[in-house]
Amino acid sequence: MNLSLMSLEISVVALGLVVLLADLWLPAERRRALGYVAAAALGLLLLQNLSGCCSCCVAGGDGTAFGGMFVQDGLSVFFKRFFLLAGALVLVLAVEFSDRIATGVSEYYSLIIFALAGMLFAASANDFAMLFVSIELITITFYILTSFTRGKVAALEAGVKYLILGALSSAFMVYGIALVWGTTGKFNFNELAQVAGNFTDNKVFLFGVVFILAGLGFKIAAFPFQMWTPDVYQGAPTPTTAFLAVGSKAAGFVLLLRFLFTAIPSVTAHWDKLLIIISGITILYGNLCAIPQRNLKRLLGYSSIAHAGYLLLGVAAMTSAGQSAVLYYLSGYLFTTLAAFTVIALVMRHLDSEDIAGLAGLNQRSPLLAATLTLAMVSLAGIPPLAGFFGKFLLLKAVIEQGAVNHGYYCLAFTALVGVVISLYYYFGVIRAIYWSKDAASREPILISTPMRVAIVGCIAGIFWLGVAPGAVLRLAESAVNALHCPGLALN
Amino acid sequence: MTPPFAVIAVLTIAAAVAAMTLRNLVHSALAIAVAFIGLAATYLQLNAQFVGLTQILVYVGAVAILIVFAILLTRGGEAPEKSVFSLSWIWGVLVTLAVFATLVWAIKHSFVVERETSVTAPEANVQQIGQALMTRFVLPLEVIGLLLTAALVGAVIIAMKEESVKAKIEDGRSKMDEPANPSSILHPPSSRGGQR
Amino acid sequence: MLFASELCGARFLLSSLNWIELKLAPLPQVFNLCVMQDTQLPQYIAVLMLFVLAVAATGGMIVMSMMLGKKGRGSKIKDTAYECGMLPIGEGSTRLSVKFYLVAMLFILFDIEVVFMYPWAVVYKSMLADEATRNLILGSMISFLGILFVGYLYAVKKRAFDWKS
Repeated sequence: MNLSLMSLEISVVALGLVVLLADLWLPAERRRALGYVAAAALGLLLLQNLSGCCSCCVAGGDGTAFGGMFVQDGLSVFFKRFFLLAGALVLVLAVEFSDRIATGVSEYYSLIIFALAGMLFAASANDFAMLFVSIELITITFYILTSFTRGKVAALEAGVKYLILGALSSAFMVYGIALVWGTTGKFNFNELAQVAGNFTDNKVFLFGVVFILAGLGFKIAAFPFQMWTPDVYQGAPTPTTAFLAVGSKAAGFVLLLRFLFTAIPSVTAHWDKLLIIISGITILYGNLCAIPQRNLKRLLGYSSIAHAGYLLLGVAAMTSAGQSAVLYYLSGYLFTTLAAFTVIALVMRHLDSEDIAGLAGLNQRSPLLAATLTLAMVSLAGIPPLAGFFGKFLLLKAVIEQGAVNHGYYCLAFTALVGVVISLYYYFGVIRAIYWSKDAASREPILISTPMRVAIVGCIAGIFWLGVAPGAVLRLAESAVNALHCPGLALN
Repeated sequence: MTPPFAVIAVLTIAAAVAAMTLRNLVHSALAIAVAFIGLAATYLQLNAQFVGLTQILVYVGAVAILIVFAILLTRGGEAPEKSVFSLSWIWGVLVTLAVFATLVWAIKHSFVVERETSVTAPEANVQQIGQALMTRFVLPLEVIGLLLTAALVGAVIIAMKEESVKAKIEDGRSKMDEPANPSSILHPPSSRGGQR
Repeated sequence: MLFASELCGARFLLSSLNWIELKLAPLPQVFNLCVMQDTQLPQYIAVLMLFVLAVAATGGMIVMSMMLGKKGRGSKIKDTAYECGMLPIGEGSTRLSVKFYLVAMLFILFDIEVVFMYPWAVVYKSMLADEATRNLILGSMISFLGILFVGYLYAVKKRAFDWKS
């Protein structure tokens, strides 16, 4: 047993439990600050991970534990840093949000940390048992986090919707795992990869694969499984929505990448058409439905569907260039989305709804927030100097490179471009509401606490950094993706 | 198909159909408990003792009780006025039939029956399950422990009374979107709750 | 008086069970030979018989009381609930405390926990004897229960088990 590989997961779980216990003995008025402590602890873990891994992990820190069930490689390290960063930022946001949580603030923090632990396990899952258990840990904590402000009907509706559809998708996934296990007798991804080639025309096996993909498609909100997204994004407390948009989606993608390219590469190779169609429809659906939205969180929900479509471009390309583009795009998406939801949480705190009209006069109330939201929208739309542009550029490049193999890729690239053009309309609708709308409901300046300011500035820096100097993260992403293609090296 | 299997299968399906169609929610809950028992019998018949007993312990024992409590807590089990079927039931039936037909087709057209991959039908007794759970699947076990803890926190949170509202009003922070009486959804009038 | 008759009934039940066990003991083997070669279902034939017996006893009592007992005359007024002489208003069901939900929920969670402990307990002795797996069998269950103990502590401190609060 190689427990030292899991030190990060163990620390995060311990942190969550400590936060839960601290709540029992801390006086009520000091619980709020617990979130800062937890965020700082996550930040320390991230720093330790960054410094430790630059020297040793790339060369020799890789390995597997529990019989190949838990794998520590470039890909999992990349995603673990991603999740830690997202978790720390969401916790800071949750502290800001805590006065709107009627009861159980520290439970809110510790549930976020539990979900984070689930994501960390998902990043290392190399086995159907781990895949299912980690996804369930993420999903079940999100059921609670979604309906946490239970006095609001919208939050309850979101929670119930997420619960029912999530349970349905989990049921499909378990059924799929059972079918795959029943036909192949393999649980481990690497072992499955060795025999999957013999089963490419076994219908029951393919059914199992489709059901597993349906379960993962629910997590990333890809086309036929996207119905829950707008309602849940709108109804959930804003920090939950932010974590759902960033963390849950990224966890879905790391599992999808591992499942498609480590476990069943020989099946995936035949499924380019399916991936192309799903990706194209997801992009168009998300962008077209976002146009008439007036609620900012709902708009971002549809936009997150569209972004799942863009990310699927890189999966559909089925090259390492495409996969590294997915990782790169997710990094940009992390900063952009968190910045957007932070601004929403701060601006809309005095409003019942998150209507776009509530942004009116934001430029006078807080130039920093106005600039942040503008940058986030511009980056989501994919305008040149920012993170979103370079990510989309890499994804499209990877898809077009594959066009020689299958002309469907050209159609897909064209669809993605159409999607980008459509998205310009509604993203700029938000920017117009910030700067050019007259009837501001309130003129009072918005107070921003220091940790919040640090988080916002960090997000802006990240957006610019990924857009202007993409080299470092891109190299990390490329080396991370290598782990997918030579899984044999990871075996003990 | 052996006679016991046929009896169990018919019983289970009939109970499931009854759970779906009965108008009185309490009757539905009873029917679904019967379906759970039928499922447990199926597991036992397949020599999956552990799964069968777990089914009885968790589903027949606990989930059925929870369902009954949920019915009592929500609308007292009176039968609905309208039909229990939603208007779009025909689509549901079509989708179900399509999925079922494709699954049957897939099973008929694949070589799962030939067992060429040496999947020896495992006769899992509790001993073997214990061995696997303690060695190979020990990490998922720990994660499940975490999951249960999270679920417990969630269950307590939902039922908990608002505790710190007063403290926060003194705190002077904004209360704009705080609900007037957040606990009213699940809590009965306070004086009666303890005595029942 | 009532107590004695109940005792009598219980003794009758027990003795009849005994009889069934004695007379029908070879039945599982017979079943095994005819229909169910590869299943352990015959082991549960006793459970089934107990089930049938329970249904027969309860059903029999209802039927007997209907047959033997005197039929009173029912009317709509007689069937209404007695509420201090007033006309009953509203529905029969009252709102229940959310505590019921909490009890059921906690019961399920701890039930599942026990389900995982059961196979552990079965292999505990053999794995503890083995030098290689000794740490594993202890460590895995201690950490599993440790995580759950935090949850339990939480529930206790939040007075989730406290009916009166």
